[in-house]
Amino acid sequence: MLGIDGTAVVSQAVPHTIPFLMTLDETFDIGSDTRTPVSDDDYQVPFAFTGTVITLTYELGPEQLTEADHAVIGPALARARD
Amino acid sequence: MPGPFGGEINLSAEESKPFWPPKVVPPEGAPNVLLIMTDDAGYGVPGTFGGVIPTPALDRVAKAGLRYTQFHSTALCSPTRAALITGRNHHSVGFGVITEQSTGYPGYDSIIGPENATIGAILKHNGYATSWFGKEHNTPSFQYSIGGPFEQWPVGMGFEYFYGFMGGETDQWQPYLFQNQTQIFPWIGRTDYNLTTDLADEAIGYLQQLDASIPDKPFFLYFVPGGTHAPHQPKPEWIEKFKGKFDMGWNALREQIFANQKRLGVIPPETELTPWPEKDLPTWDSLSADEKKLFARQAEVFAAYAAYTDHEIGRVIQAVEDLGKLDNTIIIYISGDNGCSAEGSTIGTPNVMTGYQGIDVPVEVQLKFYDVWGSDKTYPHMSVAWSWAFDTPFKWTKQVASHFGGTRQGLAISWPAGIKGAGGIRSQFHHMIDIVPTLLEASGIEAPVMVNGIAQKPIEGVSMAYTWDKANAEAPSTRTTQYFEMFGNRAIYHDGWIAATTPPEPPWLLGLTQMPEVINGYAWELYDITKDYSEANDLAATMPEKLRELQQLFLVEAAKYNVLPLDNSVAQRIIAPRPSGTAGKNTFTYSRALTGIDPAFAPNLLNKSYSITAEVEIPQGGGEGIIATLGGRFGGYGLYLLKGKPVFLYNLLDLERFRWEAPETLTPGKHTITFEFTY
Repeated sequence: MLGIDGTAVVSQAVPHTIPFLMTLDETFDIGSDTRTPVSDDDYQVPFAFTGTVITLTYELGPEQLTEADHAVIGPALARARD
Repeated sequence: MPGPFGGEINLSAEESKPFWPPKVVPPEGAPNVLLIMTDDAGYGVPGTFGGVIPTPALDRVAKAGLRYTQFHSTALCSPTRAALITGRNHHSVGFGVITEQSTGYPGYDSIIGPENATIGAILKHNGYATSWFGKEHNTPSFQYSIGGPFEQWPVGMGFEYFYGFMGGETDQWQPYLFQNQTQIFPWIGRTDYNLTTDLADEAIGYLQQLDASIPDKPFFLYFVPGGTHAPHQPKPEWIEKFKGKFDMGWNALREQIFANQKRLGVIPPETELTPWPEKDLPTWDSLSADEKKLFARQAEVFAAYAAYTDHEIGRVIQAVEDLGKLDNTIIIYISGDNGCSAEGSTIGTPNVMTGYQGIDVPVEVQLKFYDVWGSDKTYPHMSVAWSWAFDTPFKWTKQVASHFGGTRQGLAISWPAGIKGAGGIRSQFHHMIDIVPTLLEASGIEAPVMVNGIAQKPIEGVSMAYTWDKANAEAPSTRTTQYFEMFGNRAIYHDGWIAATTPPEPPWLLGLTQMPEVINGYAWELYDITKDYSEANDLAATMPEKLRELQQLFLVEAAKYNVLPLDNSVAQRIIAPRPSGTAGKNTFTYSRALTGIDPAFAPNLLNKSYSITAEVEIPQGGGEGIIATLGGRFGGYGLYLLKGKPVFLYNLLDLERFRWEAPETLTPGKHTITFEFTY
């Protein structure tokens, strides 16, 4: 759900999310984007913000993987990252 | 410790005698060292060892020196690298596995420790100029931040200059690159940029600058390019050279490599080609025309990457010659830090981030990338079947420490001033840990007892320098015993015999099957590798006593080198907490623009509900640009203003993009943008 000034403006459900590795070689960036864009159709890097980020806050809920998920993910992640 | 002042100090300089403190210099005649290793390349990759991919730089080293036909890795990248630079077994220096999977046991915590000084530190303290170009992956992942600590970054490990990437892999077109401790972006604005060429240029520039400044100072240059680890991204002119070269398929490729290996004498004449794993991987003839077309392309790009990497290595070697220093330079060129990788799924992938996570990209989808395979629009990996074939004549692949498909590497060493009998072949059994003692013997430097005031643990390798004497061409191996272990798959070599566990599942199944009990639940195989070079004839059933003796020896060695506790239940190790700076945080607040936070320190949005709240000030005329992003073209998310409208975009590994776009542009002034996701 995307909201502006406290009002929801667009929401949708997604069928899948990334299992356990979002990126290995890209960084977390605020106010501009280093390396590659998440969407070549929308912009080219660095796409620096013309305004000002006053604050940016993330609130994370608990991880919701099941034990069965872990059994699959663990070895794959471990081996992928070398 | 500086020595006493050797001059004389009186009231005025006129009445005094100056004295410069002596500088540390290496033993007279100590050679320069160029230590080169490529990535994820099995024994059958380079032409020098019978492969179909030309590797003239490796040929050059082999021709000027010696080729080794029984040299071994640990079966995984960063464990091999830790063993190579410390001269100690990977578990002895905390690298039983990779740092992202580290646990709080001495063999597995990814902490090398000051008691295990690297060859960089030893040579630096003995007057060498030390440098490292390319892949790192020996720093704990929970230390990849501006806060360090930096004891286990290259500079802290004795490498005075570092230019490369910190993790296991990076995009070659727009790399995640560091110069010492600082992220850099030399590729911006350069359309022809590719990292491997850049690494060679930087290494050459470094050697030239060193020669111009301190011509007599010997160098130790560690050159470890990303090739041929995924993503396979060579320059397009190299891909062009291999067009149509793999239309014969992987089964015929094995036959061809095997025949070449016999012709070159890099496998004994009686060697048998191990059988194709029909149960797990299809034969080429059984494939459709579309599959053949796609898979051949995957191999063309891999081969191009291998050839391109060797070419750039060749430029570095040539630079040493151009400086007139080749004669007294030891070049150690190891082809691959482990066998070819089975991490790209059985059908390959245009984006290996899918392969790592068990997602198969359908062949028809992959074919859309046929023309751009290897470009910056892809992050590709070839089919497992090719990887198996490039490990000819052996069984298995990277990650599988029990078998030579995972651990046997091509190696050539040259040193015109020190090695006579150029062009020879050596078959003594050796391992990555034997390189450091070899270099110490060649340079006349003893392994230090103390480094920076810290008592050192013994180096576990043995020198291979005895093999340089032609009279010792057939000498017995001075390495008589070597254990191997990775993810519970293990083996023990002793005096020509090897006992090896049978992998309970192929690595490309990502642990989906029930794993056996790690100590007693594995089947074992037994080979007499003095007669059976490729591990084709399992003697376990006929020689149970020999097997038992070796199994016991494995446990002795495992206890000695921190291999215990054995663990194949990898899942628990992954979710185990690690001491990162943001471990356990659920609220992250930032109050200004900043870039370059490693993903290990960023909010992790996977598999949970989350909210992102941005308070922003929109300027007159409307806002545009990134508020926050993690990832990029091959996976990630971005929150940004596009033509004034807020957008949240979730890039599902370049397979699909989900987009939330506000209908209205934001007016100038303060606004709050929120994105909430309910898992």
